[in-house]
Amino acid sequence: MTNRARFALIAIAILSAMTFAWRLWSELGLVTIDADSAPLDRVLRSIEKQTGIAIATDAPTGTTVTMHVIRVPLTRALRVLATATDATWTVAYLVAPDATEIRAELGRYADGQTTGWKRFTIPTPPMPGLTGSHDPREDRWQPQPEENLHAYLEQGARAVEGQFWVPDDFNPVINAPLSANRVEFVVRDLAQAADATAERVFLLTTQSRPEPTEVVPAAGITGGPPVGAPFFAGVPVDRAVIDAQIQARIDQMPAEQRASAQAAFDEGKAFFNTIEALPAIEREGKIADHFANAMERNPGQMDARMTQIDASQTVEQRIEFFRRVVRDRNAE
Amino acid sequence: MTAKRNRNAFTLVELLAAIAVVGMLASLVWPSAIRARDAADNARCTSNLRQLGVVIQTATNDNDNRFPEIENDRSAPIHDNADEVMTLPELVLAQGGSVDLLRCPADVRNAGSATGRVTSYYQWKGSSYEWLPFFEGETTANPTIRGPFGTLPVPLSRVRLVTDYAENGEGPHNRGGSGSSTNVLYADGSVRKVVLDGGER
Repeated sequence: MTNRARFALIAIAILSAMTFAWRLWSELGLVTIDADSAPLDRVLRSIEKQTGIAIATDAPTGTTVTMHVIRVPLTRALRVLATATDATWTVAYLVAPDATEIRAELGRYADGQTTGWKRFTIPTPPMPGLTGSHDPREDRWQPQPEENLHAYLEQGARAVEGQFWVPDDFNPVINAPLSANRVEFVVRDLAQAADATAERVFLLTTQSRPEPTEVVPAAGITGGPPVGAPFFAGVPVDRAVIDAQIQARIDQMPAEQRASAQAAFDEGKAFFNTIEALPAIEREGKIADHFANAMERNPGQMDARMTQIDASQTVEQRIEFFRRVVRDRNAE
Repeated sequence: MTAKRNRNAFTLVELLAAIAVVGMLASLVWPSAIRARDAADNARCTSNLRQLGVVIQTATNDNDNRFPEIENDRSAPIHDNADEVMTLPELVLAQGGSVDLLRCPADVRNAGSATGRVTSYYQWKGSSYEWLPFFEGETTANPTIRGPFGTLPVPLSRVRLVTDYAENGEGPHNRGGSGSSTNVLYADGSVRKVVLDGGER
């Protein structure tokens, strides 16, 4: 073999190796699950293994799941899993003096217990453009100086998407300044300043949660279990807090999505400003009218949204849903 | 004895260089070819849905101007009286159409690529399209839908009747592009695309 041929073969071998490495790299963290009535626990462990994250759930033991995804991003896999298990997913940052306490708290979460820890979170309502493929790990947090750990974590819940858990009785003073960064790095720095341990865990929470009125105080932020959007529950939430968090999320959206999300948000804010001073009953009537007329105001958006929701389910889930639709109609 | 060198033959280096050039050209052309093919698939699927709209319109006229009951799959029925309700293929055949109308090339081509299911929906359900039963029995003069705030009137241009089968937020069209999509047939005969990425998580 001549030197030229040897050189060409080596060059091709290097190119092939680079192509292979690029392919591996580009698919790093993507999820493939092919499960038919498989134990949920096994599916969760598989996702953990493929992505390197930790997932906890409060779903009952013995829960099974059917889902099929091939090389999709983690957020999409979690969305599909949540739909298939009638659950919601979020990311939580747990800060405690040591990892043992974090393990114990996650065990309590799995058993549906809620005592002994604060769980800072702001339940934001679903908004067009705000949900979807957003990865909350990418959120940036620009911490403002606070006195202690709890105050920082409460600020975190206002600033980014996610929950912040900490023991009730663990609230050291934080003196070290924190710099702006991705949320997980800020939490890591915060834990160091508090001489504590921090862990990031994805939570798959089933829908059997307490009534919102029990856990959402007027401050709009809670030490109790996370809850869904408090829009129709007549809950005295603090609009300013929720508005600030939605605005923070919009600010972090890609430019091409930001304008429409901002417009939808501004429209909602303007409407709620007009009804703020009304008596409760009148306000509820206005809210009902507002949403009843949504189809006329944003026709394309409304039915596109319904199509997206239908399509997010599996065929089997839709069959169940359609059966209910048909039976409800026939019962009238 | 000495080996005679064949001056007409390609050397290994020339061969490898040619393969590399062809490979590079192919990689440049490939995405355009895929886009063109997807556009053709989408056009065919949209056309099928429009024709399906005509079939359903005829069935609606035959049903005192009320949207008909249609079953998607008798082996997994949504109606209690599924045996008495036509499936989409039966409806198309009854109107003198061909079941090819119910075959979307994108569905067949993408079988299993995102949902992990082995077959296409056309093979599985006999149709690439799914009937949405929300307005069954409603009159075309005044279709309504029940919501949390009572019964709402819905214009025909917003009455969703049929859509491409989709699962897990993945429709048959534009996979791997800026967002997979599905087409929706409305009661006024129009067909509109809905991008699915960004659906509720």
